[in-house]
Amino acid sequence: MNRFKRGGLFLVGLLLIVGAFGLYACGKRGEGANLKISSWGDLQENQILVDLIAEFEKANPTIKVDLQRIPFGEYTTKLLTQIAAGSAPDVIFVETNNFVDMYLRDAFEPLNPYIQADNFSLADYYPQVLDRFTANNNVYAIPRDTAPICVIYYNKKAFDAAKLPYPSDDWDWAQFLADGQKLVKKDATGKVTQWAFIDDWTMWEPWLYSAGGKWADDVKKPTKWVVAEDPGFVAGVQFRADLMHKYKVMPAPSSLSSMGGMGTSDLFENGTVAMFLSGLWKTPSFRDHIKNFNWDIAMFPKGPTGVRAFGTGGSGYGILKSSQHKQDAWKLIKYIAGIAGAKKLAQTGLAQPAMISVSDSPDFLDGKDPKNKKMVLEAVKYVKYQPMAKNTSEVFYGVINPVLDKVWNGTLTAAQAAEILKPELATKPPITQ
Amino acid sequence: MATLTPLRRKEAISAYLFIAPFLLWLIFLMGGPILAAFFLSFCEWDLIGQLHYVGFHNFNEMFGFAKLTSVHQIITQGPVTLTSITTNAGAVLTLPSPSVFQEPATLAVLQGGPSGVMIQNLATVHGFLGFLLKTFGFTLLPNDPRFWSAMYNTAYITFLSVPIGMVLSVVVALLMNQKLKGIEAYRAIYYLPSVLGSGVAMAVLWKWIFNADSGLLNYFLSMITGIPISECPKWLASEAWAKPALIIMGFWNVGSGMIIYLAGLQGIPQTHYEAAEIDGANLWQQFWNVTLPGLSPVIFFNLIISIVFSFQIFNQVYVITDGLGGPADSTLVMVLYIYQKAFKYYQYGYASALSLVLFAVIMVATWVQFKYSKWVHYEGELKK
Repeated sequence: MNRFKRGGLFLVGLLLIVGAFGLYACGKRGEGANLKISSWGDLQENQILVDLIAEFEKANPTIKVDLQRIPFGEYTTKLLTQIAAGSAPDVIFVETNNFVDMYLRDAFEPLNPYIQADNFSLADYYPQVLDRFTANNNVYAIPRDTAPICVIYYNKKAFDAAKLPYPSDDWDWAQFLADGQKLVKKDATGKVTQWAFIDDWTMWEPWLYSAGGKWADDVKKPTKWVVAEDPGFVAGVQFRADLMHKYKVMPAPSSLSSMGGMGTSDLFENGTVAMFLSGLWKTPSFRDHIKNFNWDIAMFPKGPTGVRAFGTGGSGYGILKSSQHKQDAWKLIKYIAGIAGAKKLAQTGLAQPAMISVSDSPDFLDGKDPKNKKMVLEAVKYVKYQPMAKNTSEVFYGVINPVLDKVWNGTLTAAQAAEILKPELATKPPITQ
Repeated sequence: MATLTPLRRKEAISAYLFIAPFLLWLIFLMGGPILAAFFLSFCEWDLIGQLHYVGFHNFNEMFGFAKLTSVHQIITQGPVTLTSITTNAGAVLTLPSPSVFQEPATLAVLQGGPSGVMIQNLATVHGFLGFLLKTFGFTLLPNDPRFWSAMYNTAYITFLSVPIGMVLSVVVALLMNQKLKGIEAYRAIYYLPSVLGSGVAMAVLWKWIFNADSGLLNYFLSMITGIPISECPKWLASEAWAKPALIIMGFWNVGSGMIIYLAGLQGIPQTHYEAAEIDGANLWQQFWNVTLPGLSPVIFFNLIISIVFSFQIFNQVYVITDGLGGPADSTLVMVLYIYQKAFKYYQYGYASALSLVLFAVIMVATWVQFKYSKWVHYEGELKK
């Protein structure tokens, strides 16, 4: 071979070896770091964790913590891949639904031994929130926050203009509808300029739950989907559909898509919609963006039989079974999901801490908007969770939602949807193994 | 074969070295996963659990169905709750759960399927299964209705967008083939959309264009046809119009086909046209007898490639529908369904089986095109 070919070949070989070494090194943990924690979250939320970790490392100089940020959409997949590859983190951040995916695949280390050894008190956590992360009397994750999806933000100026009293937490569907009908404003051509209500995304669960409906026979150990057979399903779904098509207080999906691709919360911020259903997480954005009117929050209305119920978000930290540093991981969790973490979370106003004393303190109830913030403390009592099955997500998004799309479009009634869903749900029973 | 002289050996070695990176990539990064997917099709796996071998279970899930026969018809007048049905023959069938019907309806009582008895409201059954029920008195309950939706949606999009797209590309290529001043600028303009790609920005742009009330498309539509904007199709928000919207979106890529056809057109010898003119052919006859046959190898190539790619449409659909598959699964295409099954629902075995089926379908489609390719006229071929 001539000089050039030989030289070139040598270079290629060198590059391959360096590249392979580099890939290998990337796979290994950084020098000195011996704990890895994974989380999702935007910059502001992530900063809380970064600060907490810095404080923890100062208090525990022998432990180094590596934070791995994963986008929420790929979170579970990436974690499962890492577990399969043997490079999983020690501590993972989970929320009420992806917790189930990981728990049912036996990924978590039971925390009871650590809790008992340290006499770690669980009394200060909201029992409803802790309960989600508990199975078979074993705790699998320590809660960090809870987020009842029950917050109806309302535009005070719109209520004043319609001469309506502000909603009380005690109101029910009938009152909600009556108020809504007075809040709709149209212009001279009949086009709606102000809608009464919109939800952050297609949130039909609170309507289902407050009509007394439920998903499965049992949340922790579901054996059968009962949602399509439950009269609460028809009542709740039909009411939401009626809001759009019969009473016309809420924009139908096709009208929604025509509001110029604006997000639903933008519609509340610019006054196009008078009431907005979401969770407390919208507060920072509303505080920043809303300048033209005063706003406050009220709890989701009671159902026709007086039932108050809605879904919830919420998150916590757990230890993976595959971890090699479980004791250190436990120390980290105690800190970031304990008082220190809860206080920091409360101060940023980002979420409601899962610790009762911190929630009920000036750290959280800081007097800033919304004035009725203490409502969410009461709301935690009424939260409902989705059943813990491996295929909950598939049944929800793949079986139920496509049929419900037709209800929201006005093509089917809720009763017809229930009849269509019954056989489909029968062929896909909950999988818990 | 020529003898392997030292020079030839040197050349051969460097040739293999040059293709070595690609070969390694092919074997390890493509071949390996493809083989793995093939074997996964016969297994069940959710990434960290055990890998179970399940034989043909996945395929049974895909293609299997239960047959439901209509044994009775009920016409209800108003709100009624049914818990059991007595058929004309006197048999009593108990429903698995009470069924409530509010409005007057014609109900078919079906026997069969996993629950034994089922009631279907004849007002809500549509499509092929509805046709079977209303005409023949039986219907089918597929084990995986979404699989059939996905195949139907993919076929619908392919068999509409490919022929129409090709015709458009050929027409545009013919137009761009004129020897006019500045024609290169037009060619560039037509090709521009393909350069912009099919990424997220494009999908957001198209979402705006297809916006039912304030989008460009409905605006122009109402201007041209006089239909008020509120009566225009709701495009991406409507089950019926979401797929046509995706098809129309695909037409903006005519430029990429145009380039290839242009090259093909310019490869047709001028002498053929002259000969045809001498024989007295008019423009249309020249097109039909000289241009098209001359272009046929290019058309054939494009047809195969377009069908293969169209069956695998994914990017635009994912971005526009946020990975959900459009209003009521109307834009759930095969690759999106495979993606959901694998990465949202962690059923890697089933997803692999689905991709195997998609592969088989594309293979068959390609084979059919080759088999019936007599119409392709290759220049310089000896007539056998």
